[in-house]
Amino acid sequence: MKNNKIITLKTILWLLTGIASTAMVFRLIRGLGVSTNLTDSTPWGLWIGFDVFSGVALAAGGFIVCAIVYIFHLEKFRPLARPAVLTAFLGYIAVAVGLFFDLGVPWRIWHPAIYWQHHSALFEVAWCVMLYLTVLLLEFSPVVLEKINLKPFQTILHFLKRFTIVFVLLGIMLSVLHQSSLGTLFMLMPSRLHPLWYSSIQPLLFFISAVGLGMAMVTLESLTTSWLYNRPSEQKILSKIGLYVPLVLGLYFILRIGEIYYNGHLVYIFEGSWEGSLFISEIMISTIIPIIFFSIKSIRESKPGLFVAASMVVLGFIFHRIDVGIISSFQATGEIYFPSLIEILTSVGIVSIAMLVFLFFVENFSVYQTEEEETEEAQKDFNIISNGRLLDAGLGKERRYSFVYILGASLAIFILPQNGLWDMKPRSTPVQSARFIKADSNFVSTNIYLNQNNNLAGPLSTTNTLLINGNRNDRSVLFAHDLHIQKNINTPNCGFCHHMNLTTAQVSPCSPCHMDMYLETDIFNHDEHMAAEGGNEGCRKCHTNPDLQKNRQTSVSCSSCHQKMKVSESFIPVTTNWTGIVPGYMQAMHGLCLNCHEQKEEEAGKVRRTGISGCTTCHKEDGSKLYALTKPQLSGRKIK
Amino acid sequence: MRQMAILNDTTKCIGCEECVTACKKINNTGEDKPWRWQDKIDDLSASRWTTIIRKPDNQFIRHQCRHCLEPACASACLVGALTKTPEGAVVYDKEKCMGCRYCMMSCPFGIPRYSWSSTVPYIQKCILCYDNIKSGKISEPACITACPAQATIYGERKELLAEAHHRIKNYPDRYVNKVFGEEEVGGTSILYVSSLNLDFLGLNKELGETALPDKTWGALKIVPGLFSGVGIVMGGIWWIIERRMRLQKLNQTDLLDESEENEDEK
Repeated sequence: MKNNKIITLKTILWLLTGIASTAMVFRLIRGLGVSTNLTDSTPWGLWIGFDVFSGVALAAGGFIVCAIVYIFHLEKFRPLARPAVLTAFLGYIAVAVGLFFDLGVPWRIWHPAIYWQHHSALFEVAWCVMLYLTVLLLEFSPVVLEKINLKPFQTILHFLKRFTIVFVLLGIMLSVLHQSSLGTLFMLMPSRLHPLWYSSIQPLLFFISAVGLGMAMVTLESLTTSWLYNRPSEQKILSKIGLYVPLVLGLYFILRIGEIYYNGHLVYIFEGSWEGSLFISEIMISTIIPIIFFSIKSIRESKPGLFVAASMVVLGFIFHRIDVGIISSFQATGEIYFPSLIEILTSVGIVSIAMLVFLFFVENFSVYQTEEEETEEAQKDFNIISNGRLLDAGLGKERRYSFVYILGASLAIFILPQNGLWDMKPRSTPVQSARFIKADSNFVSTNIYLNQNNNLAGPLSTTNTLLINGNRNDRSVLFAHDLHIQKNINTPNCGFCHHMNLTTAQVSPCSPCHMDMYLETDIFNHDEHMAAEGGNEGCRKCHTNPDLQKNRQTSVSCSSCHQKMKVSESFIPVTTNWTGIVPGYMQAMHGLCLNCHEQKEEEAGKVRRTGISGCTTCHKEDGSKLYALTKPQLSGRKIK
Repeated sequence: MRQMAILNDTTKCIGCEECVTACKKINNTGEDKPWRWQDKIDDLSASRWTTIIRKPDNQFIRHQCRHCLEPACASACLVGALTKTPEGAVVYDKEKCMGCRYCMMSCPFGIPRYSWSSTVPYIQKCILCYDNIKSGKISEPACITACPAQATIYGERKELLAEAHHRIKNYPDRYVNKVFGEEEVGGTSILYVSSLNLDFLGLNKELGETALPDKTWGALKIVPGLFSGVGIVMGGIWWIIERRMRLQKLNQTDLLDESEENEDEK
């Protein structure tokens, strides 16, 4: 008997895993900056918001069920304990993997173990997660050990079982701490988070919501696996848990809204801003609607009702974690973040892998203990269906999964280089290929307009000068390629010039590198000049000597082009017979005197901008006006 | 130890960017290369630890790490890669950094930058030339030496504060009556006197005067208590229920009558 649901699900999961593995490799090779859409103002993205924050919260079911079963001895909930612990275990491993991809220096993920900084909430989270992972491993290992009929393993099993209560206690203690500490993380960011998501009781809110979320997640899991494996679900127990969900969510709701009210921030909810709408929808999905659903008996005791209500809690609190971690800081940073394809694919892949492992354990180990008598029949059924298991199934399925995995991985190769780079990719514009030409080093006066048919190309090997058409306007400039390599010998990297730093550029201007004058100032706008002179082709009009560094000193003076520039107040009225143009005082000082002085001082080897060429020589502080606006105070100053 | 600081007088700054050049030179940050989201190359970046913000009417404001007295970034860093030195600088140890970027999230001024273009990226920010001053190579940060207008000066924080108040007192028309950095987020080592309200330098206009680390520390200091508290309460509950159940079992086997009574009660 085949279980098509399982096979279909696994096929999809393997496909996603395949796609994700390529994305993950890409991330590790190319680095964080290239593969994500993270920026300096949004340094935390999907991997933190979803994989880490939501992952930890989703795994909260583990400690809650353990507390109910082992501490409060409510034995009827025992069937839920193992799946909950397994989910927690896999969830935390997924968190660690997600974090691994998110860290800038992933191989230092163990650093918190030796470098201690106990004032950091993240330090506490890191330690709790490390310890809790160990505890979960110990809590879960009996499930695996009891399958192995070897003496040493049985001894370990016996030993572990004796100390179950210790692990359970430790697990609860650690969980209480780090579930709340994840909220503590955000208490450091009052200026960053929107007031609706910033809270001084954030740890409490995170903890309570984790409890609610954990309950919902256990419910969801049990319902889903029972549907998948045609196994009777623990619906009666689940409905009992469902009875308590409204209490937890209600407490959360009261605290959350209460605090917002207390701080007088209620107005933000109804001011009609997008944050307000976001908040309302988040609260509706995560809290209000589930409270109603779980409170109505008929919904709580029906499978679809339970499923919908639990899914809403789960989605709603994932929503909440992402809101707090990412979205609520958009208004402060003024920047919208949307995850890149690689971020999304990796996250999906991590979840897929976790689900595959979960299914593997469900099929091969007794995760869902069916102790009650009435389920014996179902147990049989379950065993038959578990033919769809991973290991001892016929080769057919293994082949199928391998094929799908490889298909996904290779499919991703085709998707990623374009979409994975999204904004990184320069727009494809037909470019005339560069060609070497014969030219001596003194190509100052050459001005080349190259058309498609115009062939100035010479033999490739004889010369070091390239003709490049960087502006895509069929006007090429001479480009000393070898010289550029020599000058950039410290960064011997082709990508340094070839479009790594010019990612969004439709053209490749020279100025981003030769940027001494690139910055716009009050008196000179380099971009405008460049555009007017036809891009790279115009460089030489101002920077006449290509051998010199391109900066203020080595360029032609403004007046050599702007002979007829008429700036208001730049005229000194002279006799009516006069026909020429006389520069104004400021123009004369800045354009004529300074140039020469700077040049002279440079030649004499003095430091720039001291003496007469320095701004502060003339623009002295006079105490009455803003310094930058002061008229030059020349009186009383000795001019040598 | 003298707590050193910088006082920026924005009314004196002429926007010449000599400080930027000097900073690049001494810290070897390299050229600015626009990264894909950047519109402007002259924003703070991994290669530009200080920059000039240009405002209308020739107002220039030098932007850089504020070296808070109680830095949020240093309290956020879980491995202690960022630390506040007694001399005043907030310095960075890249050997410890694991790249979690919590410091970037926590900075109220949005200062730390990340070298995204690198495969192995690190945090990049002004360190007040700490290493070079410590080794005696220079006596004050390179940007201070480079400033032609004395718009940015270096000295002990207390003295600079006095100087700042002195300037405001002497030229009340020229300055906003506030030393920026005196009290925000518990005080910063980079102080400003200005003719403009400089609250735009923070991520939020109201930064408050509480040091940010206090906000998390309030929650973190109860951690040991909470940890043992939860343990004791949970352990206690377990013990009580366990004992009750065991007793019940004993009663059932030893004293049949009583057990029946118990069950009746139940």
